[in-house]
Amino acid sequence: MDSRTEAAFTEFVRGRWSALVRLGYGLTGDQRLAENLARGALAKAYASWPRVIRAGGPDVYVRRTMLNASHGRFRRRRARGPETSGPDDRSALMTALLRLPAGQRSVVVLRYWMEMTEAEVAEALGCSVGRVKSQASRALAKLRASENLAEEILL
Amino acid sequence: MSVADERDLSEQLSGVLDAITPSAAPVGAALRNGKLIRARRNLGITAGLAVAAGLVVAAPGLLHHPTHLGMSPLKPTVIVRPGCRSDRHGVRAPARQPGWVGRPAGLPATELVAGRAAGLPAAELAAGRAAGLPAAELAAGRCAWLMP
Repeated sequence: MDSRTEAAFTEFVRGRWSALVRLGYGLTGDQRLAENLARGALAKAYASWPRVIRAGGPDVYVRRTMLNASHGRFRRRRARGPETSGPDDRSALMTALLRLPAGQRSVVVLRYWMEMTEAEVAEALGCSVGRVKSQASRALAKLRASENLAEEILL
Repeated sequence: MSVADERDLSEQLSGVLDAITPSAAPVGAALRNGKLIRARRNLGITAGLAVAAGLVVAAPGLLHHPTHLGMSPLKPTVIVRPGCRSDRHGVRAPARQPGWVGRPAGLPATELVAGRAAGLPAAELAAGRAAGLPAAELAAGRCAWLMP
């Protein structure tokens, strides 16, 4: 690839890195994993840069790649059994968020942190708007009922 | 802390996620890994094309079957000679000209195979007779091969 492409990619990485790591943290609850997710998605984007640009831009591609990777990780973890330990410094909200199924967690992060519209979330996740609404509604209900969050209220 | 409504959730999420301090943007690593992925992909494509090209070249040979050459397996000439080399497939001998391969399928075209009485299952022996092999020669364990 030519130097112009490398320059565009470099600019993209520098401009989006923080947001991508934060998105990854919202999906995984672990900064190291978040950075790995973002790094892997960026490498894949660079490998297919011309196609990525043609297909709607690197933002969409990288976000989609990260979502797919985090969903795959969630499925593998679920197959291995429940997690017995994790970082202790997570906030109550992150702990509750990580208890949600990957799909609901993704909807929460995209909808309420990235402030995407329901249609944009549906496009990012490759599902219908109706499914986004139902996932968001279930996720909110679970978060409201979360024991950790309730405990913090008592404290 | 409680999640009262969507706005509340949004604010709490921003509080948590915006507090994250990412490491420096890994531009160099992303470029290197991206190039590596692309190189592997190109290698895979090249290997795939090479295999496809190989198949295209080899396909006529693989698809070749002696019966496709106009030989008649229905009325073969049977030549019987004593003392031929034998193996688990039966008896085999070098072919002096392209021949009709009786069995088994897939033997090199330079070798012809026919039946041998000793050690042959009854069904195969019967098939050999049906194909025109003389029963007396088969029973004697002699070499018999079929010519077009």
